[in-house]
Amino acid sequence: MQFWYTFIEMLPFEWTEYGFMKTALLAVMIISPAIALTGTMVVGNRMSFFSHVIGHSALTGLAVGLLFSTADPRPVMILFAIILAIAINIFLSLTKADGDTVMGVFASATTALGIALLSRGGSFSKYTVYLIGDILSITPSEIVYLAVILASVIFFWVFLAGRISLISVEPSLLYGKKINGFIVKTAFSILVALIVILSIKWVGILIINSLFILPAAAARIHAKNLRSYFALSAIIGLVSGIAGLMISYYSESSCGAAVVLVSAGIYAAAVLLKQIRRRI
Amino acid sequence: MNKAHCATSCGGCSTVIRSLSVEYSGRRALSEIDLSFSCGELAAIIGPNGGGKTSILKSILGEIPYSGKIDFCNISGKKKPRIGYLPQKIAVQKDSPVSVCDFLLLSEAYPFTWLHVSKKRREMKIKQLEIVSAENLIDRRIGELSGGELQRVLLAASINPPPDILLLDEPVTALDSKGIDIFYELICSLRKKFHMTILVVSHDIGAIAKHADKMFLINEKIIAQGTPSEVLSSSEFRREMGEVYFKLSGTKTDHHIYGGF
Repeated sequence: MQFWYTFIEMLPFEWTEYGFMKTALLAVMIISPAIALTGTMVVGNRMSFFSHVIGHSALTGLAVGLLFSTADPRPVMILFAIILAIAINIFLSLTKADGDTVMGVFASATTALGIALLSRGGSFSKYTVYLIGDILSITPSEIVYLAVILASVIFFWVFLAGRISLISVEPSLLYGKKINGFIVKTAFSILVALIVILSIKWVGILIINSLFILPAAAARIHAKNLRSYFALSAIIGLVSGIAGLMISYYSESSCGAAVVLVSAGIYAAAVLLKQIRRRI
Repeated sequence: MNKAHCATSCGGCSTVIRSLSVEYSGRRALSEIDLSFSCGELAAIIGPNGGGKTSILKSILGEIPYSGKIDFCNISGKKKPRIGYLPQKIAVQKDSPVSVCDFLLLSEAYPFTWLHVSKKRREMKIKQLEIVSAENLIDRRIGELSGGELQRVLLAASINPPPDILLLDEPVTALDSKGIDIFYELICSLRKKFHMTILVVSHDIGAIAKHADKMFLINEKIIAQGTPSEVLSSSEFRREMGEVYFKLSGTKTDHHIYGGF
């Protein structure tokens, strides 16, 4: 950590004076590429509604978590999200119901339950930080949570990225290959749940899904193969993370929103570039 | 019927299915059927929709619960066969950034496809595509391939490593009539080369009849079996598949007439 602070102080910018900016920059540089990389498979497996559900269910998770511990509700929130992720997967594989509809049901139910529980006594406003998120509030000791995210993403990628990529092409290709699609997908859902909950306080429920979807959506348009897809997505995530933080510093508005706006801009540019390439 | 005889059975390997029954939520799809195939044999399974054709393939794959016995023997005795499978209705995502080279590596479970693909590995995949004359597709995105191109790539993936049994479920629905002939000729050459049992489920009776060694007409039970010409000229075939098929079956006609079934 000390090395990081010394390094940042060498940069010729005004914001390097502030400790919180240095920590926030480090956090953004870990979180946004990790989420963007995971997003490639969220998009690839048509799970964007799933990460939306997990994000919104964080409200219910928070309410349940606060019942157990008001100091740090996160362990219970993680447990809740993982149970929900597994439950959705089991529900989908048992009922063969339409994924979109099921997710819609889960998303509305968990959001409503969360709001109902948290607004008891009329004090919902103190939880709005979870809706919008505040990356500047991250403390140096909390960087360890982000390290957990990074480690989980790397772990998953080394062992299961190939399989989940194959499932994304066409699930029935797994027949006769001794690959259990259910287990791979559930493991991936747990990864998504873990990332969402660990970062929700800094990113915000309303915004987290965009961090998964936008970089991957832009990368998908131009990637030549799987490797360029992953690399492009992570780079777009990283660039929009850093750019968003800087924009929010100078414009004094929400960091998460700025990050999303930058990646939305990159997405729009990617679409435009594709159209221009096609015409030429 | 002008049939291309290219069977190369060693007589040592066989797949034997005994009293296979399959039920879907109370409804019988297959009841007590017995089938056997030898290596180097191209066997066709035909029959009406919902008659249980695909259930046979899924039972062999172990994808659905069934009762009965499915045994595979080779010269050295019983073993678990290696199965290749070409699925029906492949809905590959049109915007998938997975390249053909990636796809072949992914389907053989090479775990570092996402990190690095060496020149040597790429060369191996080009060789694999040469078998199905698709080596020029190596760098294309899989979502951008035409029906016929995708078919060949999937076939290349399903025969690596060469399986003991290759299962093809409605393999020609995405192809035009020229493509269908090229496809079955390719299948025939693979059978020669790799000495495997090939099981085809198809509605395209005219095309498959030209190439198959054996044919089974299935509708919950085995209705008729034998060489394609025996099956197609049987009264059971006429009763089961209707007058139109019967009239067309003996003559070489455009496969499209069958294709839309």
